[in-house]
Amino acid sequence: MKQVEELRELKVLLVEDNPADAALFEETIKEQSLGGIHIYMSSTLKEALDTIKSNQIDIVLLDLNLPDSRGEETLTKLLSAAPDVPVIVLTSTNDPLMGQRLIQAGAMDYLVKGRVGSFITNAIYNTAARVEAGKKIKEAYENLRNLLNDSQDAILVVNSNNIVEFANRAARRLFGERVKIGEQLGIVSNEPGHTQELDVLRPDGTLAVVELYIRESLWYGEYARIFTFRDITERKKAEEELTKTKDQLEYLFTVSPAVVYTLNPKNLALMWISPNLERMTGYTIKEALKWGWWENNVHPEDRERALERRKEIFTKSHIWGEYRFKKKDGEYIWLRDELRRIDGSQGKQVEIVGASLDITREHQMKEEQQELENQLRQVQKLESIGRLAGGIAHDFHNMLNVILGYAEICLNSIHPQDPLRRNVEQIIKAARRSADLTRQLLAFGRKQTLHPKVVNLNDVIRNFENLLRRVIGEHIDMRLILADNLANVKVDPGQMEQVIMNLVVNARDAMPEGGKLIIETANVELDETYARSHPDVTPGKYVMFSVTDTGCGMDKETMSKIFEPFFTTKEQGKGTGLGLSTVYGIVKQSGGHITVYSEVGYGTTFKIYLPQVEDKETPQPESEEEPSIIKSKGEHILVVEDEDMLRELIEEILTQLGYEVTVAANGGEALLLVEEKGLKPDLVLTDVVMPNMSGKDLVKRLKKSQPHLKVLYMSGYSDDAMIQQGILEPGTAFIPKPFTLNDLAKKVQEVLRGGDNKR
Amino acid sequence: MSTYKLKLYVTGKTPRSERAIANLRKICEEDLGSDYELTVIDVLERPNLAEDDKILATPTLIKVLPPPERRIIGDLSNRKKVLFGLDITTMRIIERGYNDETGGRVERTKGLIGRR
Repeated sequence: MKQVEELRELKVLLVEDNPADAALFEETIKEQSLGGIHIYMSSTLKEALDTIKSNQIDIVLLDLNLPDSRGEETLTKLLSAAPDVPVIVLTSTNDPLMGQRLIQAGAMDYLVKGRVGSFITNAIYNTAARVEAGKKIKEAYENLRNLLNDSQDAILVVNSNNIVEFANRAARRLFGERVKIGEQLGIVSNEPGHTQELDVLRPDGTLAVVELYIRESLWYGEYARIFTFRDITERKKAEEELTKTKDQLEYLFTVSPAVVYTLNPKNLALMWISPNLERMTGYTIKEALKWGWWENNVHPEDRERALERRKEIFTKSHIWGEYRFKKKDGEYIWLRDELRRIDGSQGKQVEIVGASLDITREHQMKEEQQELENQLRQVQKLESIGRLAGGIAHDFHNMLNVILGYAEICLNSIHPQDPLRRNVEQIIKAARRSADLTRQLLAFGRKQTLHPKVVNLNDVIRNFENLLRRVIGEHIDMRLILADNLANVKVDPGQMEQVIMNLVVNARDAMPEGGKLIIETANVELDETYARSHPDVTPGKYVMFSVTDTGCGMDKETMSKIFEPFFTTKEQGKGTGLGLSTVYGIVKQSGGHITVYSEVGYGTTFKIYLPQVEDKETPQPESEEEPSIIKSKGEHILVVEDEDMLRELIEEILTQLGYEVTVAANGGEALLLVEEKGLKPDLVLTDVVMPNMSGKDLVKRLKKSQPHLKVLYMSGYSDDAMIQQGILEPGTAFIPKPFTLNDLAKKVQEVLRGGDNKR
Repeated sequence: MSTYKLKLYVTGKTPRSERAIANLRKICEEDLGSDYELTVIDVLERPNLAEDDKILATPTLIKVLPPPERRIIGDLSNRKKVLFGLDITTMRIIERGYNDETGGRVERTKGLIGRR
């Protein structure tokens, strides 16, 4: 309707048998339409139908009374023959009821003859417009149906009688034969709007999940409901897959030791964290997402380092760090934290994902390992110092023996009133003190001769108690907590007394203001676990003996050095620095183990563990009867010693005592004397360790020719190898160097009087 | 004979089927008392029945008795809509009178409708 010029000419057929009327109508129309209407004329119905067919008539003006048809029937006849053509009826009677009937029958309009006047052209135009509009609506519906047909959703249009008016292609695919246009559908009384998901059995037997939307609408002007089914099978499957994946992930998170999280790539704030967080730290996810949660719970000493490390993720794609983290219960755990930056590609955002693992256990093991290594180093250090000290002390000992021996010989030959006598006495005193010191060094170096016996430590302590009390003084409260049924140990009781004494004296010196001193014994078992963390311990049953004081205690630095010789915290001149070294050496040599625990300001505990011995072995009572000195009967003694000075000294001593002495510098010389020269000594006094031939081998040879030969061994030390050789077996006569004149005299006579020697 | 005769069409054991059965059982127990007869029909097992009843999608609940026949489609999770859709609430409201105090909710009237 934009441009009137473009309107095509309307073809109007005037069906009128009265020529006068026809002329009148034609003239009126022509006058009013300015040539826009072309008029065809017919005077009968039959002629009209022919004209409609051959001329594509747009509008028919129909007089009901024609020669070949009369009345309202004329309209119905025409419409049944040409249903699409719009008809305006011309009647001669002004009857509104009839007019209504005509409209119902399909007429577009009706005009009463005689009153037609100018209305006729208006009626033609109106009808033309209405027809045009009708065509447009039809076209629109045609378009709509095409669109609906193209839709992927299944769409059904159902009228108010539940008859299917329209089903699109997708609907026919989804429902197949179950939906037929023109047939009734089960009445669904759901309200319009969305329904939940539904199951649909497809014609091919597969299952679909659909969403249904019901809309009330008009369809070709009539009330209808439009059912739209959206196939969401694939989406649903994906959703189910996703849910499954999510469930699997959630399960993984609950069993996984690692807590996983994501961080805001701009400010590193926590954005998401896996639920196993609660198991690891005790915090809920809600608590964790609060601002500053992470920062506040990192150990203050680790915080700065951990924060700095985290910031590196801005420049690196992968970082990790370890730090302590406070759990909700206040306990700290070690976390190993890894961050990974996933750079956004194809417009995706940068993401930072992280994982935290509780590595407290690993850390503990690492610390334990370090502690173990420290201990091992400590043991090794003491071992090497001991070897060094022992070696020096051994040679030194021999020298002291010589000094002591000659000084004693000197003293014996000096007149009692001689002024030199005092000097010689000083020499002897100094030499004895030196000998004491070297003995301690030997003890530390485990080069000392031990006389192990099966004893009960409780007895040793009780016998010793009074002396200990006198040593510590009255300002210290000493208590004994001795276990009942304490197992026996095999130790040198004299050395053990020294161990106790040294520890007690140390404890006393740690408590100048007084305090408590507790000596305790117990049966304990050191198991594999303990042995693993203490490299020098063999698992087994031990007797534990501890000395605890409430004194000043010591720091770690001091504790690591206390067993080293000449290390002392005491003022110069007050301690030798050998007390605890001696203790260490004796305990080690006895197959034991020693620990120290100290806390500055609270006190110190030394614990000594000695291996238990079988119950059957009963303590051997001390039966040291003092052998009375009997003068030499001029017996013949063969002295075998490789050290020249010492050999000469011994020769001098024994000669003075009235013995007949022959000396040999080594085993070969001794054999020569006996086997070749026919020497028949009553006793052989021999060193144990000598070049070429040991004392033991020599004795073996000598006994072949002289089975009743008496033997006395002497040695500067007796290490484990010697014990294994059987030298210290009960009954074997032995004198440790250095010895005094009296020691030697006593021992020699003891052996000579003792009758048959065992070997 | 029960006042209510209901048929529920479902498809296998899909989550929708199971939800609908559970929801309907609850509604029946709470709102219909013992005065109902419910048949659950699996379209996979009885395709002919589904065809006769022109079932397009499930779950579909059909109220066979009392007439008129009514159908509700969906998992029946909205009790009010189900009752309304089946014309059940309407009858009760008419019968019992609208209850202002309960905001329109109708008190349970077990078995009452059956003796109408």
